[in-house]
Amino acid sequence: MYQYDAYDHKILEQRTAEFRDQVTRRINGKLSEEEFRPLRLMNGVYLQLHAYMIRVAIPYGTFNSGQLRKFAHIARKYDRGYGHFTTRQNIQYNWPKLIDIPDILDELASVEMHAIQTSGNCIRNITTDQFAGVAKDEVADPRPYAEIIRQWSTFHPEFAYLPRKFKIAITGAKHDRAAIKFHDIGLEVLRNETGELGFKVIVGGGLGRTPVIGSVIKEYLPEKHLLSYLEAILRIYNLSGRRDNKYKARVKILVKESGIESFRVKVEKEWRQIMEEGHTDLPAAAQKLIFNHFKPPSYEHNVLPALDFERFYKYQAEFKRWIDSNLHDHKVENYAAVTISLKPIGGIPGDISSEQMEDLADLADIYSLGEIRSTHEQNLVFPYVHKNDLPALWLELKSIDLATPNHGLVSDIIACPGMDYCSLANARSIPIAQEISNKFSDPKLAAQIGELKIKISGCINACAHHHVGHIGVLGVDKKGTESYQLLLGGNADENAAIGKITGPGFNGDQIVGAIETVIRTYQEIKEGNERFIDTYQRVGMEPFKDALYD
Amino acid sequence: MTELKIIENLPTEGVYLENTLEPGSLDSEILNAKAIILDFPTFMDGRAFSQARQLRRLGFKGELIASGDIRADQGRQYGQVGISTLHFKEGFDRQTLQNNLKMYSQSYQHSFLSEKVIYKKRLQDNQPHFSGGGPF
Repeated sequence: MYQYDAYDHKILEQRTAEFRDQVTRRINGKLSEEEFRPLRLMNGVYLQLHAYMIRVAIPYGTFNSGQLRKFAHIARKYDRGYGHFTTRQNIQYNWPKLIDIPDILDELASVEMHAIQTSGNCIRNITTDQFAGVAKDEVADPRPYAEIIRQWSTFHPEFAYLPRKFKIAITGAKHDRAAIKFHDIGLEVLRNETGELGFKVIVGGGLGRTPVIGSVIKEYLPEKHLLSYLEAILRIYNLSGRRDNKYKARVKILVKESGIESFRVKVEKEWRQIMEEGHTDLPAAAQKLIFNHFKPPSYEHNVLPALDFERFYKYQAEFKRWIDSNLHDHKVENYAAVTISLKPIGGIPGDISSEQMEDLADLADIYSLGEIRSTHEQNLVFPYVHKNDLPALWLELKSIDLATPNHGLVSDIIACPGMDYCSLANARSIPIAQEISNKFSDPKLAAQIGELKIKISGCINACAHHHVGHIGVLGVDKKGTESYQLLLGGNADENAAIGKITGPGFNGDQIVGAIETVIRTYQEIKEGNERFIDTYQRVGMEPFKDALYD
Repeated sequence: MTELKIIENLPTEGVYLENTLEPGSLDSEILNAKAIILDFPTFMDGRAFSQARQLRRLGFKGELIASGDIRADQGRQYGQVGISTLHFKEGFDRQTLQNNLKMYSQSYQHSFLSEKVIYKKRLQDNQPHFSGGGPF
């Protein structure tokens, strides 16, 4: 993974000193809250319902065991002993004191981490496929490109006051695990007819109040022009994006209102001028220096069957369930990538305690070359596990309650913090997720139901991506009481689709029952091995509607 | 680091540029002006950062003035995109501005301040004796 050099360290050191000065000026009254607000927001510090919250960036969801130990330490020393992994592959702390935040940032800087651009109207953390670099189906590892974009976008002076926030996702595989069609810019690494690497560029996707599937702005962008093309899009957006209405300020609205053709013409014109200037694209030699950080590790290349693994898989039913749901194909034979579910039955999606983080860091050192990934589905991944180590790893994970065999299943729910924490929320999300998880706690039942993505947002801002859940839930405020809309048929991968509302909403006591009805209906009408989403695409809304509202 | 000029009154010969101007529709006459005044109606409105960048690209050599809701904590950013002068109508925190301009000595991007651009420095450093990082 990427390691900071002296330049990266220096920038971070300067930034933490700058923020310490700003916090000091706020505390001694030199800065008003109005003046301080944008400064703290540029550094991931929000003021929530009960306390400040700090969001720590995990660039493209890749981190190491030392960094995880630091997350654990911060949670214990400055928070309440736990952290929360978000849908943008970041981690946030819900209870820090403002006066401690500069110290937290110093602690983070000591392990090459920070909270830069995790909020504010700027380019946010770049997200990617959690299996980047090890996925069997990938064309190329997207992480070096994500790192190139990270550096270019860090403190970009021109793009710190965009009309609204700006999110970029990149995937290196055809099967899209990074939801690139629902980002401000989505990039797919691919090869052209002559085998050269480049990108398909998608622009103007997004969720929130106005869910939009992104449009292709460039079918093939040569690899070397990545940054100049991004800069052209950002410049046009900065100049022309709407600033009269916060809810119409994302680039998706600009693309929609001007039309993709007209937007493309402006971008291409600007792009040509940026290329002539020659300041933006990295020279090949500079690019190579970044790529050097992402060379594959030295795998143990043996092709003998993994006997321990086979034996456990055959005789240990619980292990088999975990393998069937939480294991992913690896590009190297006898290796696997493993999802560590942060969705224990009845738990809070994405939460993890300091003790668990420390134990997990030790396990990563033993079983995963010290590397961990966070996923946009609020889980973690060990990317480099040898198959023969899987039984031992599973036993260890079980002993710290991190072996829930539910990846991609009914209880692997994405939920935003909702009204339990967030000042924007209209309704609670976490308790609904917990109730569903408890209802479907039987792993055999969950396995029968099969792949199902449930996503629960506590308000229209859609932090839990409810529009793209196979089953989506949206909390709304209905005359002062919490009410929930139910959506079906959303999909975040390469077959992108936006879910449709079933009909009238449900109150807090009814919504879980309604979800049970939807699942029961699916089980009654599914054909063969159809997943929920396949059945929905075949039969549409009607059977579900009939079952729900009869 | 380059000093930014601080002014309290706008020069009479300055040409005012709307920040709502369509990209690419700039009248090239403006490039002959001695000074161009860029508008930041609120500091959160960053359009003029891109306008500054484009004007410098077009070869504008005169004074580029940031006017409106200008904040000391953003001093360096103005300079980085090619703005040469800050117009503060009222008093401002001079110390913060000076600190802000001094605080960083390098940048990941092209800058109009005399800062090191990191990728260029890396290439200079990366003579044969330097490995440039390893896989892990």
